[in-house]
Amino acid sequence: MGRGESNNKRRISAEEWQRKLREVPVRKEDMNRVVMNFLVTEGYVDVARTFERESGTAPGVDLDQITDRMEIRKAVQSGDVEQAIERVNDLDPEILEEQQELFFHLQQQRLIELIRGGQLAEALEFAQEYLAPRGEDHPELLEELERTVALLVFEDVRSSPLADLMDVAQRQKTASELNAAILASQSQEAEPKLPNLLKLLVWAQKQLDEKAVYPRIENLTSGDLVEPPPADD
Amino acid sequence: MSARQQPAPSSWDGSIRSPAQRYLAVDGTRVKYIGPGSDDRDAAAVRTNHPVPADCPLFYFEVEITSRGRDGFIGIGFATGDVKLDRLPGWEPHSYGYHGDDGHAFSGRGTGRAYGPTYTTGLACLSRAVSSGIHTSAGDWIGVILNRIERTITFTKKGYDLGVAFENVSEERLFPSVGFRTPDEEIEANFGTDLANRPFRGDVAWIKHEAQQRLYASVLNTAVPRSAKGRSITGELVFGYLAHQGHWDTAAAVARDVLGGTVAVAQQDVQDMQMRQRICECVQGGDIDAALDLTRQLAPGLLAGNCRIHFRLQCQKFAEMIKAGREAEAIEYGRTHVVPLLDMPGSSSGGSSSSASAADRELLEDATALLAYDDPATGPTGYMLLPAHRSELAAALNRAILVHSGRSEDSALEAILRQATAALQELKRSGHPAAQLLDVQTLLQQQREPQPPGAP
Repeated sequence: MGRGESNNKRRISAEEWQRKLREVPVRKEDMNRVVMNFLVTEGYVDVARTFERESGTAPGVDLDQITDRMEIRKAVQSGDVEQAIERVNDLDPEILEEQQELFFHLQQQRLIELIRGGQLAEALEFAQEYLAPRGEDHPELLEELERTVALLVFEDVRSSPLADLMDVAQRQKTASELNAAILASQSQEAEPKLPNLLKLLVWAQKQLDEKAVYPRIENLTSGDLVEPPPADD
Repeated sequence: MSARQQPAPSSWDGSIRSPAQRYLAVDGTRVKYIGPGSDDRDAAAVRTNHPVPADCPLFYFEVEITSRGRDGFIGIGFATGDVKLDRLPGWEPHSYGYHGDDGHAFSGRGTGRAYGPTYTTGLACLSRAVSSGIHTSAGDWIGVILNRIERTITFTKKGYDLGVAFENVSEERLFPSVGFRTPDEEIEANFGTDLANRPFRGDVAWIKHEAQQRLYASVLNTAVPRSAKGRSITGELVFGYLAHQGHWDTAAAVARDVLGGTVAVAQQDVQDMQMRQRICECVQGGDIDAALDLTRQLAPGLLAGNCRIHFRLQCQKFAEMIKAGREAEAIEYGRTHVVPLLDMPGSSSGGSSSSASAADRELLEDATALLAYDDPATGPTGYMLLPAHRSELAAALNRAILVHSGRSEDSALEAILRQATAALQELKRSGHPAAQLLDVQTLLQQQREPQPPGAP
């Protein structure tokens, strides 16, 4: 390592590297599975159905459940928390029963939406009836509860210290928490595998750069091989 | 420079000449201190016959304290080959030691830092073993883990993880080492060379599993450069793969739903692919003439420039004629169309022309041999008429057409899989420790976690 390091790097010619690449077994079924996994975890149900029909690759999960999951996500993101809660309970009532914190966050989001809609009387009633009792049962949620209820006392919430709660990002946060809980309840993964391949490629090339000079993939979208500059000597 | 099958440590080396050697009785994996043990100058250490192999990602060995001797002044760890053996491991530079008398960790100097518990042969254990009448080991046992991926040394005592003792351990050749200082201290090591009869007491599979998970997590933490156009790289890769495979409907759906209509399926691509599919079907059906005609239409100049694929197709046509019972015609065709191609210079795509022409000769001989059998398909070279051989030829022709038309054989997604796998294999070959524990399939499998070793 260190001095003279570059001189010790092995030079792998384009021909030799091509030969190594050809020796790598690439099974179509494996590739199809990775593609299907991407479509399914990202929630592209229509595409997944088309792919199943065209390639015969099994989705590995119930695509109808993904449709549900995507609709629930959409409901939270569009501010219709009530509908989201209803649909989650249709899907699996245990999810919200078992995850009190998640349920609290959904109720909190509901309160936020009521305030956003200017329905202050309803918001107050909702807070007293549904949110306050939860805070008593779960002291760890108390601070968040107080912070949310405080929204009621600001006339212009958007310029208050609590403005973040009114953000679209807060909806996204709640929607993601719910999405992850549904995925977990179905023993499904939240992350597709395909990005792992890209990460491994970047990692492996970087490690190999220290030991060898060889044709690299620089552009991940094209996958083109770039040959190293010719040796100095 | 590849680190292939280096020997691993298997026993203590009692043959090293050093002043301290006479203070030790070394017997394979056992060592006993038999010196005076008056002060630090009487210390004596031993190291193993081989260093830990350079490409070994995780090396584990165990040391049992069979006798604490007078003061239990024992040090366990690693040292390079040039560390003097009249010192305890850890006192000298390039040595690392965990000492039993005070539980301190030493590295490169005579004062250590508080690290773990002391270790010894406890009297309680001893009396229990004696009273129960069965032979149990009475002493503490220490597990030692050299992690080359994270460059750490970690110890366990009776299976309990004591945490990382040393970081930035960068020496390339480290030998397991044990040092002693007072009379009758004795240890026995297990280097895992005979696991069937002497299994490790520590859960090595778990230790490896944990290290592997940390490694996977760090690889998956790698930042991937964003697409220049701000589009989804994964989406585009999937689109390219689907188009390349001819899954046009799915490709169109991905273009619409995933990529928001920023790309589209090109009609020319669809037509070209359908043509290639037809050509492949012709080859698979044994209709080489049709395949040749269509190839000339789709890729003019390919057959003239790429003699290898042209020869293989002509050879196949020759074989198919024999199969059809047109022997006389086949012989005439072979003379006029197949043999002349044999001695033409190698294809423009390069490669080793001598080995290619040897393969060509062999192929022609196999085809000619078909003439000798009433039923050529069941003869010894009948493979030429089997679907597998035809499919392979069809795939080779498909590749040749793709390359000829300036397209790549693989989609970008496949190219990335090949490149990542080849780079990882090259790392493994070059002795890169972390690469030894990584596997592409595990990263792409449905399970989230890598399987623990030994799992089915």
